Amino acid sequence: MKRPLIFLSFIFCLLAIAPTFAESLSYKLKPVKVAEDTYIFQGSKEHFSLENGGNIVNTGFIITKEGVIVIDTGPSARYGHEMRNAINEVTPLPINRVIVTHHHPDHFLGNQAFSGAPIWALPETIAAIRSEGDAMNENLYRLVGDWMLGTEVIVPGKSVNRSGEQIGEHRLRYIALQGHDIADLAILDETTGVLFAGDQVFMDRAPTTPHADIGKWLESLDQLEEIDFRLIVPGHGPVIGDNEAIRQTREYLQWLVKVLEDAADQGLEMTEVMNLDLPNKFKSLATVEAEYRRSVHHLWPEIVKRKLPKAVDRRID
Amino acid sequence: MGRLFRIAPMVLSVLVLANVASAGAPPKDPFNSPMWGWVYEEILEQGQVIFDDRVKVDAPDSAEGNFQVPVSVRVDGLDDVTEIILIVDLNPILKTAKFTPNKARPYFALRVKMGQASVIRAAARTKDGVWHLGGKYVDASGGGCTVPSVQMAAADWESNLNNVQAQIWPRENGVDRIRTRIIHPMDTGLSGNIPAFFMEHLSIKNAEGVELAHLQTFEPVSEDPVITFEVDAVGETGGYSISGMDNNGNEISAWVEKAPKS
Ligand SMILES: [Zn+2]
Repeated sequence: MKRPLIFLSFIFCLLAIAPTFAESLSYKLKPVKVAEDTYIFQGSKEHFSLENGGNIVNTGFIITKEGVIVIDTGPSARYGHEMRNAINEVTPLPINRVIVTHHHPDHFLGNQAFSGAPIWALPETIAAIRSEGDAMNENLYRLVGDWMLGTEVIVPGKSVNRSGEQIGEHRLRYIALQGHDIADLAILDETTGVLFAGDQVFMDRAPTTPHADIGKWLESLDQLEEIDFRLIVPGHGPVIGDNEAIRQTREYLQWLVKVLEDAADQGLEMTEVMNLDLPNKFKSLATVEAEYRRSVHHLWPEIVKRKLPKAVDRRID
Repeated sequence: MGRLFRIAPMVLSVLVLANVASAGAPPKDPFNSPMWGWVYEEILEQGQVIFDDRVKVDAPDSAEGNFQVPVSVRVDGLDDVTEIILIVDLNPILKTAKFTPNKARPYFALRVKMGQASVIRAAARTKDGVWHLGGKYVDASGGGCTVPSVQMAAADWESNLNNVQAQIWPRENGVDRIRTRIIHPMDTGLSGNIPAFFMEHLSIKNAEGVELAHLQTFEPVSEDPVITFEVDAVGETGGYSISGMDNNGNEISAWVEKAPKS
């Protein structure tokens, strides 16, 4: 049998989308004040695209007497630089630190712009960025193109290993969670009551599940609901002053698990599961059709592995 | 152990091969795949070809991960299907599976590895020798958060090699759906110095040893293959044997029994 040979690696694809007018791209980031000393940059509720350049995420910053605390840095070096410039227009204070909530590429690939400031994350997040960061960077390049130009992975150097600390006049609580990602850090500013929930919480937007453990995620949501906050900044979608984002995220995840487990019990196969109709109540969530299918990709193989009974072994030893 | 399934566009090979196919000019491919000439010549051996809506390939529009892309094939309204070949045009190894539905519906589902966006086609051959072709284009740019290029095999694959999981679901019209999962690394042999190591054959037989369905599998079938068939039902009770072999001669042999009606 003749077999076509492989000549090119996909490095060439990356070179092929080299920039000519990349300089004109701008995320047009505008800080929105959500509480005293506290600002966010709100991304769209879309999936990654050439048009949005990966600006689908909420990032934020808190101004303290000891400098600025940056929470997540966005999908690219360009985003990080724009973010830093926008922060400089609000305050002349230096960056005190960056805190990365988890290891998804839209949350840490702007780290590069904050050189000089220490970058903090949970130890599992640091390890995951070290091992998967480059591949995620390449993948995002394929999805959003020129926006990513010059983006390099900067692995956070400081491990969040305490439950909180005082920075200037702001008291921060660090809440180590799991379930959306292998590790998720939520940050409560006890001084203002603003809870930066990372991707533990989605608002009006379908949750994403590439590294999800839904059982652990639901437990984490219970934990978040116990917290006395005034405002939640979700990882994606608008800020909100009550439990609605937690409720939405929980309701969708509970439904997702049930629909997949039921489908496995009924003997459906993977493409059939992807084609199932979604309940009307979720149709208002942005990107839900595509996100649901991606979740089948992420979660179904494990469910089948767990549910399918062992057959009787008839091999002769 | 790291097992790579490299992402590899085949632009150059396509340029060479596109010219070769001119001998028995192939009919125009509705997918305009650059590999169509090669598929027509080498896999379909320049047989008579009809692009036929009755051959339905289902797969996601966009594959989130490159290693477990689900594909199902169903032929609807064509009698006497003798074999169905599954082809992923732009994979380094195109031929993915060959299904023989002895006493089974012309249907199967499995998962495949994909190096890049490609048409996935099914070529169903009828008794008269004609190839009926259906297909679906699947984008493979990924979801952004999943890491595309490296696959880590489960650490315990060696002690569980060729272990079988399976279940039977009775369906309408005297059909039993059987799903089976076989522990196998399915190494393509295309990366590093890991040689090709993959399941080659899988058979579903009844208690008398009559083969109801046969699937020949190639390297692009995903690790720990999960395969679904629909066979003529054995009856209210009973079961099926699941047997096969990998390319190193390791045996697959198991039995799955129908669950008692509750
Ligand atoms: Zn995330």
